[in-house]
Amino acid sequence: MPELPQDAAGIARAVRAGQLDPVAVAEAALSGLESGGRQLNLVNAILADHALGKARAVREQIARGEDPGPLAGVPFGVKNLFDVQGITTLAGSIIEADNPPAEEDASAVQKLEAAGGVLCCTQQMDEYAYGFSTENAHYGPCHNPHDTTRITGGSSGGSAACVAAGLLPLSIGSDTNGSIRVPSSLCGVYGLRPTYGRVSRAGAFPFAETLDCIGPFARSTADLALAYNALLGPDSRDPVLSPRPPEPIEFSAASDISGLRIARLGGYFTSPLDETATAAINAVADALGVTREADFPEPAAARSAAFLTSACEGGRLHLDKLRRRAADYDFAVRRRLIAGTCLPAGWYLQAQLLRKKLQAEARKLFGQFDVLLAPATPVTAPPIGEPDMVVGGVKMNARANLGIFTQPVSFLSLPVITVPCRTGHGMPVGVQLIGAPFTEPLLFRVARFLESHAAEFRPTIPALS
Amino acid sequence: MSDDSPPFDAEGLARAALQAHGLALPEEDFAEVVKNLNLLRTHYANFEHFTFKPHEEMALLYRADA
Repeated sequence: MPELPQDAAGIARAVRAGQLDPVAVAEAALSGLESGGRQLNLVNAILADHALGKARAVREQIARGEDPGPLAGVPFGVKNLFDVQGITTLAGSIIEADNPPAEEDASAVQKLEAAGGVLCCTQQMDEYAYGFSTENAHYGPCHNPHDTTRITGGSSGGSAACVAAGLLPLSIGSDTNGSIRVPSSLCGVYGLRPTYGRVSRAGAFPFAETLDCIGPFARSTADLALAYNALLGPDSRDPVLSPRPPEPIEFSAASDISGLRIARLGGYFTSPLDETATAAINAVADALGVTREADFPEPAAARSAAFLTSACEGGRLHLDKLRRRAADYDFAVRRRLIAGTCLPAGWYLQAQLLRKKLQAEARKLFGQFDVLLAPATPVTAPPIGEPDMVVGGVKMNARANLGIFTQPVSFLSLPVITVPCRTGHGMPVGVQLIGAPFTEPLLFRVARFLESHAAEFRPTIPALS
Repeated sequence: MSDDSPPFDAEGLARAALQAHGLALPEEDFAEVVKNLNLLRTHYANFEHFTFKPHEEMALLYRADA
């Protein structure tokens, strides 16, 4: 069999031109998921019948002279909190396993398949998305394809790692406090958390609804843009969705960052950082010629308020299940959710007031700068099963602190692209490109510039043993 | 919180809230919930000092054209 393109753009181009059979692409993806995906424990359901049926439909469209769309024949996977018609939505929990199958696809699945994409699998995650490691107490840990003794990050760990391992060109995950950005950092792929309200979350199992976003993982900015563009558009099923018209990413222009005001975040965002994460943020700043530093508004307070908001909204969401099936939760998730149900109302209200205040301050900051840089994680992927990490001589809980640099940013509803970076130290680590609300096109310009600037910003697929 | 305020009673808060919610927990779980509540109290201390002027709260959260 001739070698298949590994990128979404290449697959779609060849399928649309009639040069590549989408069924062969789907078969290759399904085979890889059955072997590598199972080996690394990245997938829950492999949807062979569905994928082959969809691929045949794309093939028939091509035969009729129709255009299946910009993702023609592109295989993709979704975190298992997205509804997929005909299968039960697990959200990483055994509690959901007895539920009836979903009656309708989530909006993200509908939109990607309407663009010609081929859904191949659902992917492992932290239970109810409440974690940063994807060491699921029920379904086991996901293994990082760059070093299988290490975590993938979470909570969208299976989604990021499927892309990093070269098993799929695209995955869709969700991000409440960093669940796209942390695993994209630790697995070394591009990840996008869009502006809150930019992309429909309909049919995605919620965690903390005032923070939840969904977005794509890819190994290139072109593929990330293809997925993002497909996800845009109206959807009456998500009342939070912004009425702003979609602004799809155009890649016809050269990657150009001239005129953009870019700064790196100082203070809070400079520590704790290990040697590799320090090298990564320096490499990105150097590549962009960044000399200015900016102060993010009250990041420590924002992170703390995000913690409370997540616990409170998550606890409220799960209260009825906690009454009935507390023992079936992952013990750590159960205790965090129950603590969330106990919080005084005034604390939650104070967190929301702070959010509005800091959002106003962030708007002022983005009057001075277009894009801000920050580390995505303080470290490369920690070992599986290791609760603590030592950074700069300080021992800290690994799971909680993997989101130390992502939580303040998402609390203010800002869009972020995580750029992967390999500085020669071995494991990858990511850098956040942060923009004002609804400035995703600017973030893509900067990410594309970096991607074209140096190989260290282009993901490599590791050989799986 | 002023210096003469009583210490945060995570255990008392947890017992009252769990009773109100109708949640029964094994003692081991209860101790962990209390530990989590104390952690959340530490987080709250990071932003409880922010103050808002009268009416500012309503404007921030519930302004009609927001």
